[in-house]
Amino acid sequence: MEINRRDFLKLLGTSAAGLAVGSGAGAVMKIPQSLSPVLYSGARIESWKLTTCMQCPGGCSLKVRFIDKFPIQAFGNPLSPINEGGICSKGLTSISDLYHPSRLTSPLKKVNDKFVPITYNEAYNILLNNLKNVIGKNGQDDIFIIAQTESRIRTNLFNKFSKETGIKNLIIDNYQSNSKSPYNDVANEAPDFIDFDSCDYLLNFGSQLSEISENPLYYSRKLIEFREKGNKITFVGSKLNTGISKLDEWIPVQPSAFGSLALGIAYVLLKDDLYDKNAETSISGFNSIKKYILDNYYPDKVEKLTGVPADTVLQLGRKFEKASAPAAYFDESILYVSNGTQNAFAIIALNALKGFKGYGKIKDAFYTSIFNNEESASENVTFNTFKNRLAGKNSIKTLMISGSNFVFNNTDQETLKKQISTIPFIVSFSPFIDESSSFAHLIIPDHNEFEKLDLKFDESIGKSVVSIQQPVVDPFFKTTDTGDIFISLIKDLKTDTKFVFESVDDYVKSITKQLYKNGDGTLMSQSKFTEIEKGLRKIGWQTDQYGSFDDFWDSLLEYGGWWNPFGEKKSYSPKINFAGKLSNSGAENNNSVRTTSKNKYHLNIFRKNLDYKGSMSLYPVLVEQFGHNWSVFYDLWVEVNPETARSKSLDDKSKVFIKTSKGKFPAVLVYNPAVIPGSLDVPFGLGHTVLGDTSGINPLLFSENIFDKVSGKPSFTETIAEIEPASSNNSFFSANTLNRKKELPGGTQRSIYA
Amino acid sequence: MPRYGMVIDLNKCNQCEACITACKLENNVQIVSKENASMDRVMQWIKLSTLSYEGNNNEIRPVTLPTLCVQCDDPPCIKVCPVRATYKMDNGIVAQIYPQCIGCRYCMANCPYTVKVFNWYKDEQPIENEKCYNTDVSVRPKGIVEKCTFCIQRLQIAKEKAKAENRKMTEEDYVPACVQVCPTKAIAFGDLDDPGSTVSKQQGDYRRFALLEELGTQPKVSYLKAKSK
Amino acid sequence: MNNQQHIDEDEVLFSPIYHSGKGFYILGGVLLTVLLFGIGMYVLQLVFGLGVTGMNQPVTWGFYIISFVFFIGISHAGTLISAILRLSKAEWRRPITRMAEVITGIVLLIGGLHPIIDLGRPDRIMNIFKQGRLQSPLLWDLTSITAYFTASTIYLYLPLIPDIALLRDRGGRFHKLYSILAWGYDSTERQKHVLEKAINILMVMVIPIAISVHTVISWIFSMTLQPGWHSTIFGPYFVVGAIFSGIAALIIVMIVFRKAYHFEDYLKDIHFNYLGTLLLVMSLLWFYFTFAEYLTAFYGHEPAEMRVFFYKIIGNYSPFFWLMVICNFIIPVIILSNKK
Ligand SMILES: Nc1nc2c(c(=O)[nH]1)N[C@H]1C(S)=C(S)[C@@H](COP(=O)(O)OP(=O)(O)OC[C@H]3O[C@@H](n4cnc5c(=O)[nH]c(N)nc54)[C@H](O)[C@@H]3O)O[C@H]1N2
Ligand SMILES: Nc1nc2c(c(=O)[nH]1)N[C@H]1C(S)=C(S)[C@@H](COP(=O)(O)OP(=O)(O)OC[C@H]3O[C@@H](n4cnc5c(=O)[nH]c(N)nc54)[C@H](O)[C@@H]3O)O[C@H]1N2
Ligand code: SF4
Ligand code: SF4
Ligand code: SF4
Ligand code: SF4
Ligand code: SF4
Ligand SMILES: [Mo]
Repeated sequence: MEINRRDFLKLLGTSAAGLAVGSGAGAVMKIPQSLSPVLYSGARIESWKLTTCMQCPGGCSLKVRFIDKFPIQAFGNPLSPINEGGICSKGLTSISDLYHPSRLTSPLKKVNDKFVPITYNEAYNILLNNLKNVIGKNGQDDIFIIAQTESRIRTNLFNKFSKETGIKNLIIDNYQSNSKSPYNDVANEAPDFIDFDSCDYLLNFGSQLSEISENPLYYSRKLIEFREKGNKITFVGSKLNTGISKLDEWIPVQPSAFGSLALGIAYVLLKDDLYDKNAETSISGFNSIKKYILDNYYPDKVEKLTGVPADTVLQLGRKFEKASAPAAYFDESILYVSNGTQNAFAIIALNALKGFKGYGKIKDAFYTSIFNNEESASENVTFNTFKNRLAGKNSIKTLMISGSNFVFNNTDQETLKKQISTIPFIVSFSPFIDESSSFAHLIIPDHNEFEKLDLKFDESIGKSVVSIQQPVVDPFFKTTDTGDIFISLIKDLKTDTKFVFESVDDYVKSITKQLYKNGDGTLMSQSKFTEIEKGLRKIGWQTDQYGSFDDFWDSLLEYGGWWNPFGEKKSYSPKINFAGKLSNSGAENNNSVRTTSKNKYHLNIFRKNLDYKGSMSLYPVLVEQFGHNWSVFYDLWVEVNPETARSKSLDDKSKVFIKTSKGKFPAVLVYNPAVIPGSLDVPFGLGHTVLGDTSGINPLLFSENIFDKVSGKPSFTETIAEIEPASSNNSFFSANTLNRKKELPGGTQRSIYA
Repeated sequence: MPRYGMVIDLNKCNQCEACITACKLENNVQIVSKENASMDRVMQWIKLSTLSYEGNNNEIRPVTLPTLCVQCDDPPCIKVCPVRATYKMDNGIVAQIYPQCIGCRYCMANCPYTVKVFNWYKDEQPIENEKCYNTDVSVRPKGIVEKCTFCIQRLQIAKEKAKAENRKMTEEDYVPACVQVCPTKAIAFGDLDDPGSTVSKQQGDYRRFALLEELGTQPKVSYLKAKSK
Repeated sequence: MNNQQHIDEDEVLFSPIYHSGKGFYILGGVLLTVLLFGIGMYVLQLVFGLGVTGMNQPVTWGFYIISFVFFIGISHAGTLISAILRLSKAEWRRPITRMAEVITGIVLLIGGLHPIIDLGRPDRIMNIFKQGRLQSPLLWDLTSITAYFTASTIYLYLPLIPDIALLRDRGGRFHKLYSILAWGYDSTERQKHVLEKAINILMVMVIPIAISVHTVISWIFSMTLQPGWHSTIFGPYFVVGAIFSGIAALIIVMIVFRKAYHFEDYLKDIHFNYLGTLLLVMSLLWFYFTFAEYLTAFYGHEPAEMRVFFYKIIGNYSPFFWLMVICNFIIPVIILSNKK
């Protein structure tokens, strides 16, 4: 087997082993005292362990390389059906997080604006007493939880906590549920996957499928195969990002106009009478919707609304109706526009007209078989609820933050900061001090992802996959798995709880037991199966045999996961009820048309492939690489169509100021012909003030407070901005000087970049 | 003797930059500070370069490709080195001998691909990265030149492993880091002299091209052009 | 005998050797400060790395290589000019040859130092001898500069011997030193004859060496594949440029000496006239080569060459390029063509 431990392999060669791992060790290095003898005089033996990457919804299987007891590198697991040995930049660097000098090493309590270390018991009791008090005095409604996790195990734990304790204000900002929420709203269930076996045309609304999506590495491979089979991909969006240039057609449209375009295409299908007739029954109120579309979305009008020529709209319609199994795709990114949810509904309607033929569902998916969609418990509480409460009477007494840095990631941050600083008790579970946890009164740091146990479920590849995230090292510091804290809280707040599990480990094992019992599928020990093998399986042959659950558990850890390559799929054909929500799909939104006036542009705050999220700043390699293809380093840049830039006589690589109603900020202008004219595209991820590398500027600070009224999600694309040359270089540099903080709040020291 | 080469299929590469990160981490390449980076001293052995844009308006497509040392078969860089700190190995890899380099940077001036980088300073490295240094690769001091070596440490390990297992080295044994991580398997690597290897089969592809071939450097890294549209 | 007479006549020549004025010490002090500053900067570079020089990728050489070419260029003032003049028996040369030769020696030392200062790892310089590859133009360069330096110092020294003997005979400051350096020269006929012969041999030798030095320096560039560098014209072009700058440097030094030491009787207008004509010729030649270089680049219209071409003609480097043309061609030609 490939993954055998290669303990025998002594490291020789061009090695300067001692130098590399041991250099400057000691006090500055964040490793526990007990491990330092190994660090200095270990035998330098190499070994490998498998685990799962939880940096994004993808859940790739990782092969972690150890020298002695220290993990030093992570690569992709070649036997994983998800990533097949590939790995992205973020997964590659994730190991360094373990050793990050800013990691919190124990629970902290804020005393006189300074964080002081306390023991876990002290911290837990402060938290418990606070919750008891608030529940007793003010009621559950004054407690808010903001949690961001890509783990469904943890999502379920949070939901259990919410149910058991009655604290309903749980906001789970999670890619999986967010991107599926429009489907859940109108169809009760979402499709599991794009069915690449049958799908023959992909109309992608703004999703960077191959870089930041539900499953980036799987889509990277799959889209190439898809095109190699002769199928076409159309990308709708205002920017041709590098990673999505593998496409056949690009329709430049501002995201706020996605809905109008989708309905414009729907118009063609309806007019040509080439839609799937089942839609007449599956969509409730079909006739009035049909009339609405035919009346309002004729090509000439769509041209006005979206800027897409009427001819192109017609052509798109023809392509879509001719395809036997087309898929119009969107994901969470579509929600970050003021009319995002409605745009999503419009795209769902378009899919419904072709019977969702490009999509599929898994029959007997393992995940659904045990959870039955428990995770949508808190569907009514969105970030908007939180914002409204803050803006209104602001009676929030306690705020719990896990895994989210919403202060950094939102528009209108100054207001947000002011408002949350009045909350009497904030507890954060972040392993770092970031822009949000610096407001906390109590921090109980979570384990690093290589220190905790978890499961990752995936259906987006069309098969049921359960990957295991195992603690590849013992916790380095006095940190605590946030899941365990919530389990203890359930028990202490509700003594008669029906929740039986003692810890996350316990919970994970109980789920794994069901996996063991149901006997389907196989370990991730083989990624391709021959037809003969598949046939044998169908008639009941078993390839893996385990004597006991313990055997199964051990094998699961050894191979990193389980999947069911023999599982069957079924079609996705839901009943759809728009309940009137489609009819004002924001098409008349002013922002949807390109700005016409001279010096008014759209400030589009986009995500670069590497960025993924604001927490990129924790990884020096990624920060250095951020703008490398424009040769702009550690600095903000703005991508502008050369046509637009020349009309303002701005040169490539010149320094400019971008002015919004919130102020102005400097950026380096770069010419990019693959940006829609009239758009100023600024990347985000830079500009942290406390977390990791603090270079650059966070453009969200300058964006207007525009957000989707339904989901509460901030709009990243609709701020109106002006651009002007930075007349004097001096002011540019002074406005842009770095202040890398040596001393972080809480006394943690970052000794690089002195 | 094998003659190692690489073919990058631009139809598959989607510019995810994983190869860049992998190379930096695998080879302990220095991360430079902001001040140095803004002076064009970034150290990447492989980088993504946008050479041009094809087409107009909606038809526009960036021509972006990963560029690394193309391991010339007739390398101009080694000809000028006064001390043989860079030389071509029998297997075709153009290697660097770090302890021998006097830092004259002549080889950099004579590399038409501008892929060699110099240690202008020794910037203090982030602790979290130092802790994850690859123990197979030395950390270079300031004042010397470095570049892609086709992850030569991996060749060394592969040879030792094959020897320990008493067998011949296979193509799977020696895979450079960038090739290993590439999510789309866009990079093929292997022996150009072995007619059965993927890379040598791809030499005949009509999409194949190599950079600055007209200079006679005989690059062993070549590309397959992206299919238009 | 006529030695004594000689001394009296040329007292003005001897005076600077025996009396160092206030100016000497001030100037010396200033230069010493500059030197110390330079050493300080070099230490800085040793400690922090070559980054302090502001060079980068792909500007891998920058200022050091320019200084190198500049100083080596000037070094042609001396030996080459004096040798050619001596060879062509131009009698007017006598007062200036030594000046020219001294410039050569000093400036060669300065120039030759630059590649060493430029090394990332000067501590490994012995690698050049231990592992040196003669195929590298850098090694050719090393060889030819060393040869030129040796030849030109000897060439400076041999004609000096009679004069040193004079100083020895006068006694006074540095008497001991002079007697060693004079090698027991007593102006006997045999000694004169041998000396003359040695000088003549060297004179013939030094010319090809000098030409080779600058050709080889140009080869450092032209042996690379860089657009704008990879050109056959570079050898003669550099040599012409070197002689050009050498003459210019010589004229400047002559003016300074004339003023400072009141050598008006020795450095006469005729010298300036002759040198001026030479300078004019070299300026025209230089322009011819420059024109030829850029015309071929432009006419060939290779994309890479054209990038460099436009970069210099109208791009970022155009101010420097045109300043060079003005200073090297337009101004000298205008001034020198007007006989006053
Ligand atoms: N590896 C990894 N993957 C992730 C995540 C992660 O953390 N790591 N996070 C997940 C999450 S939470 C999310 S929300 C998704 C987001 O991933 P995506 O859905 O891909 O969202 P965006 O990155 O915002 O990309 C939207 C694209 O639409 C276009 N676009 C949209 N609006 C505009 C505009 O106004 N102007 C211009 N010029 N272009 C526009 C751009 O081309 C942009 O590339 O990724 C998910 N996937
Ligand atoms: N600037 C910027 N803003 C954005 C986005 C962006 O890409 N850039 N994306 C938008 C989108 S799509 C989304 S979904 C939201 C997401 O935004 P967030 O949910 O805030 O996600 P992150 O920015 O990744 O912040 C995660 C924080 O969790 C902490 N953390 C890290 N590891 C752990 C852990 O193991 N346990 C716990 N408990 N905490 C941990 C870190 O301190 C980190 O700051 O942001 C939105 N806003
Ligand atoms: S794609 Fe996502 S899960 Fe996969 S390695 Fe990258 S960050 Fe991790
Ligand atoms: S890893 Fe592969 S797909 Fe990504 S940029 Fe490199 S070659 Fe392209
Ligand atoms: S690409 Fe440059 S560094 Fe690599 S072998 Fe060729 S000349 Fe040498
Ligand atoms: S920098 Fe080093 S490798 Fe390059 S030519 Fe000089 S001595 Fe050789
Ligand atoms: S082959 Fe190795 S050294 Fe070369 S670019 Fe790829 S990872 Fe870097
Ligand atoms: Mo998201």
